[in-house]
Amino acid sequence: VARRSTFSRRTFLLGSGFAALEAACREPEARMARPPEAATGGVQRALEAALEAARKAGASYADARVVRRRYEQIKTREDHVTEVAYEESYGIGVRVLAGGAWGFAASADVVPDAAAAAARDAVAIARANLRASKRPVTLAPVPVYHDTWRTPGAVDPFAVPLAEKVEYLLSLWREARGVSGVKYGDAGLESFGDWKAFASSEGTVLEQEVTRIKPFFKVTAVDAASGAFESRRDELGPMQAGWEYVLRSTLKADARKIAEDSVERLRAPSVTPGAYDLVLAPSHLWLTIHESIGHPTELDRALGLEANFAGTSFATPDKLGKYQYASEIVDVYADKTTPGGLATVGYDDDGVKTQRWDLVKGGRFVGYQTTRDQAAWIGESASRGTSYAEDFKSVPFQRMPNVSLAPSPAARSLEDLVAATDRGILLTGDGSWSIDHQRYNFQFGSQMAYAIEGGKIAHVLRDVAYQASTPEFWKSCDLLGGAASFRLNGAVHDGKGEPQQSNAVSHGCPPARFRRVSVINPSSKRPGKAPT
Amino acid sequence: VTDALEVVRRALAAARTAAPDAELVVSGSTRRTAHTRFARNELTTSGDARDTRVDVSVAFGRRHASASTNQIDDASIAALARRALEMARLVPEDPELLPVLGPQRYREIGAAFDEATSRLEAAARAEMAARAIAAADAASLQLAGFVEHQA
Repeated sequence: VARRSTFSRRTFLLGSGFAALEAACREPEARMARPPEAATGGVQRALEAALEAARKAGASYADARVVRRRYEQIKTREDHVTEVAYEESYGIGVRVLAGGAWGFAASADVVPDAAAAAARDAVAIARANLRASKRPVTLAPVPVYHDTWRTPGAVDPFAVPLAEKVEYLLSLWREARGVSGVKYGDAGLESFGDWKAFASSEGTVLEQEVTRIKPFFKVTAVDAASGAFESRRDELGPMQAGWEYVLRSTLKADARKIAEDSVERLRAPSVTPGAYDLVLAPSHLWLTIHESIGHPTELDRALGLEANFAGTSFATPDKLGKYQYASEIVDVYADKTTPGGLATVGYDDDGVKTQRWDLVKGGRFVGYQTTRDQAAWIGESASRGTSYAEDFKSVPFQRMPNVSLAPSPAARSLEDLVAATDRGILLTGDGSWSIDHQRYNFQFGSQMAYAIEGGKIAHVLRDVAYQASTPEFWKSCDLLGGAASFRLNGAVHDGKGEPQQSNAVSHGCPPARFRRVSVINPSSKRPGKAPT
Repeated sequence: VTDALEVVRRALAAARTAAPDAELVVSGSTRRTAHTRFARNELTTSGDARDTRVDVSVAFGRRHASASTNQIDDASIAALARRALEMARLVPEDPELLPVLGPQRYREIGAAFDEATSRLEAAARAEMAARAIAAADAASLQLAGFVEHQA
């Protein structure tokens, strides 16, 4: 049953949330990258106007988000800068329920009149949508929150002098260029700053700021005689952090090794296809987790809501609680609270406090990613808090939280996994990949591949990719690294939905071993020897 | 309705005033984008957003940078121009930078704008979705799709 009109003028105008938000925005020492209007009450007035107009137009629920997004991209090639670009967007998005249907409208003018007009448009859209709606939207209940949250300890990368950031990137090439055979070096830095103020007709008022950063370095070696080339990228993941993350990273120290690796790849033997035991480093395994567990456990995808664009999922609700997704040592959890996680935040875009929960426990499929309007679809009484909208003009919908593979209780390192493997391949770094529409059959490449012989790294291999079905692969997992070997990696441009929206998400994992996985050689020029 | 050309002229003037010796490329757009999405034979999301974007690209010799915003008041445009200029001054030279094209003559494309499409509202999109869903229901098919229009 659709929620009746449940909010009154009193709910939001007299709520203490706005007072708290306004007071926070006036703090002279405030460190958030707020828009100037926040300090003069402009943001609060726009939010109030939106909720009031939605109420007057007959909405049974409304929320409004004022969002400021900043993005900077710096690219260098060898010893020069090829791109420096800065983008900023700012506006208000208003979402309403009217007659049991959603409506959404947005404006780049964060002023009361425009916010109210957007709210009225959203209600009109909701009413129009009843024509094609079959069941009313039901929202899982959520407590009222008045809170602020920001990325802890981040040095705002937008405040760091451009010359300092450029110099850092150029210094990477200086470390790499002396390696014989190296021809090209691409470096880059992406900085993301999102500031959001959220208010709902239920009385929640939130202010949050997230800072993310992604450094990048890739070296290409060329064999002058044959024209053959190989590239090698860094394995440092993007992080919810600031400039300090780049400075504390090993990227600069690794730059020469990255160059040496690119040359070594050029000279490495091509893999012989066959069944191998694979030891997958966290810098590689994160992407396999993302594609084969992260996406399949999105409830909207599993129910067919992404069928015409981002695909569906083999992990359908009839399998929930019953299906053996992986071997018994595999625990995979969703989490929007992991420190440094790209999807970590205090509250989602439904105003739900973020949490951690199990997706796969003891190898069994036990959980989905949900939002307030999805929880009831699988009989759950509360949202998991995974609603997200990319910017002010995007409709919030279910997006992937951080999804991570839990480490073993045993204190086991990557080296221990290699030592325990007689004949196998160690893969590090993410490479090319593909996966089918239902997230069932996949193929992944890597940055580096090393032959393991008798428990030792023997030599570099190239042209290595593995193929498997999702459950076959995860059921073959028989060894996990311990907590000390757990690392975060992730993606800052994960696409989903129409209109397509980008999401940033981390995946943590220890190194893991998978038995008898089918390794192929995708190179048409160097097919390797016949399987033995 | 925001006049994108007027925004571009203001941004160009602001950048020229701040740096008469810079090479400038300024572009802008104003856009309404609306959509209705449906899946499992029912409507899922629907939205309507209006936005403007102005982009200032600056080059001092072979030093170059660009900045963009969707805030088009005079203060924001002046800040945008200042930012692009400051960024361009701070970066090292790019030996691969190509010169800015001179004045161009562009072919008129009169039929690219459709007034009726630009005025479409949610009711029209919902009607399209409802008709497709009804056909799918009648054929016992599961349907997912998307209606979007921009102007």
